[in-house]
Amino acid sequence: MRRVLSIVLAVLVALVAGALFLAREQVAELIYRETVSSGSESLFIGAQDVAQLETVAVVYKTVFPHDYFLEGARFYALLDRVRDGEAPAEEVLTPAELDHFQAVNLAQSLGLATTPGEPGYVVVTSTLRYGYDLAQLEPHIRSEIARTAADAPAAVTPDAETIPIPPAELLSQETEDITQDDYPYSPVYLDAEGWQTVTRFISQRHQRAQPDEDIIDQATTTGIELLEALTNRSFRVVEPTQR
Amino acid sequence: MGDLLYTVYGMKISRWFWVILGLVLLASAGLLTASLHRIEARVDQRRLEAAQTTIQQVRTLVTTRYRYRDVVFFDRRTRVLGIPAGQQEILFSVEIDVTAGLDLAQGVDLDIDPDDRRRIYVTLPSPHIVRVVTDEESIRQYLVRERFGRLNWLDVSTEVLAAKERNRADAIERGILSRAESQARAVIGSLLRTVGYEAVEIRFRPPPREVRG
Repeated sequence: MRRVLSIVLAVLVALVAGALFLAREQVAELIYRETVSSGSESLFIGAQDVAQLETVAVVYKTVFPHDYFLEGARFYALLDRVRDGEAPAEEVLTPAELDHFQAVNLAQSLGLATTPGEPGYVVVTSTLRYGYDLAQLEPHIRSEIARTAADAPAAVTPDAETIPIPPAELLSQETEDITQDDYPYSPVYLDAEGWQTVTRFISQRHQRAQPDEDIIDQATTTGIELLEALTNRSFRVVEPTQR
Repeated sequence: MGDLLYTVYGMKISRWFWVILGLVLLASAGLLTASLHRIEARVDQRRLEAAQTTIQQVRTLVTTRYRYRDVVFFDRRTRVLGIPAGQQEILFSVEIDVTAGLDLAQGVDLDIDPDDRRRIYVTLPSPHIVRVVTDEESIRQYLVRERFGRLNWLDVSTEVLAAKERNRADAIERGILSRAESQARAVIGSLLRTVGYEAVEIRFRPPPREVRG
């Protein structure tokens, strides 16, 4: 009798195990289920005509907040100095200390790292484009030609002397969108406002930074090459104060 | 007296052996975990070091921008044994720019009329979509809900990318490329007249044929 019971029990266990195996996906879904619904709708706002001659694109990768941490700086020591100071933080702290102070403040509010070596970061790719805004450059060229014409009227022909133009400038700045496919780092636990705050922080610092002379030189040289290719005229660069 | 030789603090030496072995094993496990953590941190550090600054030379004439406003929604819900165990939901709007222009690196041909030095013929590359860019400054967040787990922006931005692709297609449908062409014609024509040419004729090269594999 006991032997029969054992056999029945073994068969039952085998059947249950087999059923569980066959319906493993359904069982797993019963235990853990994740549903994602998402969508978006677009509205066309309007069109804008521009005339920008882009000649150099500089791509920066910034690790926020770590790239703004100043070696040896302590947040609370900086905070004390800001509290004790009678002037605003921008005047009490050096630019690098201010970046450290504001980066830690921001990181803390977003749940990111507040000290070096701590996890919790975002890698942001920004592209800064340099070149010439032709809508601004053209009146400049016109006035330079008019000036030459006033000095020597016969010189105003397409083969006339070189036209002085200012150095290239920063035209635009953009942040690359990140997705699972092209972001090989840790998850980014930020909402839309958090992402906006981090990218704004980085953009402001890029804009505030003095542009690298080499970059401006390269952008100007390429700009002159392009203008010469487009107009068959010669251009040369002059600093805004130079004549 | 014999018992004293085999006990320490009232416990047999053989039992102390197991206690010590247990402590050693615990310590080893702790050290192993810590070292694994350090390895992970090192790997992460190497990845971050790979992040660099690059300078690219471009030759682009940007002539037209179409702006879109997108309202994006994302909702992830998890259930364990049928019981709600987490929800991450967000609703926000963002503006996206579709930019069109000419890639002048493809070449610009100028022909000056030999009989009239003030007449010029220009051949430019055909316009194309230069880029589609999200304007983070325009983000307006309407709601965010995070229960038992945080929202991962990487999941949400997949939806932003889908919106960008949709806007690109819509902009082409709305004629961004022909507008970019007429604007390029106006910009280059005006520039050439400014430098002294009186008659300017601009043509565009046909777009390169799409190669299908």
